[in-house]
Amino acid sequence: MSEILSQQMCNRNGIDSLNAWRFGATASSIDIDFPQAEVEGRASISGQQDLEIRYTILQITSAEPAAELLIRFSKLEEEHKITTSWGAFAWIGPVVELPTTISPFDLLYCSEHKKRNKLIEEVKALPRLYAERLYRRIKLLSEVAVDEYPNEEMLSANSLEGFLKFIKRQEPFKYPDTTMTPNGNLRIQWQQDENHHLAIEFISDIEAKIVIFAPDPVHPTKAARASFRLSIDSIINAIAPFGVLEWATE
Amino acid sequence: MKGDDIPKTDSISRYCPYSRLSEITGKPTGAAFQLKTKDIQSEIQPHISVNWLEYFDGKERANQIEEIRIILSKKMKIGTQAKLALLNVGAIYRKFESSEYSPRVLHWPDHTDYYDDPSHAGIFDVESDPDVIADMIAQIDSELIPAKFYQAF
Repeated sequence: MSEILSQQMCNRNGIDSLNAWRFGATASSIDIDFPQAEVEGRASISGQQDLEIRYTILQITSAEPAAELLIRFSKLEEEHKITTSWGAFAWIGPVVELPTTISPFDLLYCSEHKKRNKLIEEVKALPRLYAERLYRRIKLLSEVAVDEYPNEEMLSANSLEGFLKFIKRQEPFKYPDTTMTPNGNLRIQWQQDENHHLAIEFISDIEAKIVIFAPDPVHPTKAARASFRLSIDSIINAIAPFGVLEWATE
Repeated sequence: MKGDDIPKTDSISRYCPYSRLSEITGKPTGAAFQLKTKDIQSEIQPHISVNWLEYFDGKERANQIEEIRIILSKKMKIGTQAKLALLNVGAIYRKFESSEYSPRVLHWPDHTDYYDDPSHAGIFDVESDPDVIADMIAQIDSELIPAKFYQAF
């Protein structure tokens, strides 16, 4: 049992303030008090976020090759069966979508979590004067995302990989204003004024979405605005005609 | 009524998680006004979710904000560093006056079995180019206040 729990640390969200980890914590206490302990936790039920619940692990119905736990949720007065394989994890919320088996999709989250951490460390080694600052920012975004969106997408490792591919290029871009999108992608932007604006969202490790505001060539007080989706390798060629490199680089 | 235009003299609030605020200016970036891919693809008309402050007619601004904070806390987990961006509706229309986009701010009450959000509104007609429109809205001056209410002890 404890072996399963230790591996639950690599869960859907990766950090201990989340529903997924609550399950691990509960099961840990079950190690001591099993099978009668009723514990408090938090979960998302039918759209109600972060609801307090009490639940009891009634029984470990099987151990190998998969651990199967029967859980009763006091508030719901329902019982759910969760099955978790030895190398995987189970998670609480949202209860209405409680998995009866751990899918390959969930296992993927484990490797995603490790990949994301490794890529964040790579930011520190970028050949840029602002590498350390950027590393701290992205690390913070990754951590804040876990707190702010317990049931949503986390910072995408693929997006982070795409960002690194772009920022490692020769063009000496100024420090990028870095945020995270609702889809969990990294988005960087430079804005000199309302008509000098470039935002790049890395939607995968090879593709990006770009928004450009640039002065209209004939009427410079007006803005030409464009958005497009393209490969990361094509970004520089695409933005150069808008004169972006003149003000977004050192 | 659902679908009514919100007067240009009124204000709306947009919930802005910390991770969508600019590190440099502290203001919302376009990411704070972006739609999720699944919302754009949804059959329901996509819109940027906001709350209409003057729905709570007769209340002081601080109380209007408090009503919205209470509703939001029932709908989602409010980040400790998240902000509410307050925007004037007229400023949104002015921003797009000479552009090819015509977003509209409509009252769009949101009721479910779990919460009741009568002040909910939406910025509609954004699906033609949601990312450009999001970045344009982010350029509008907004007042930022904490999204989470902290009780004084």
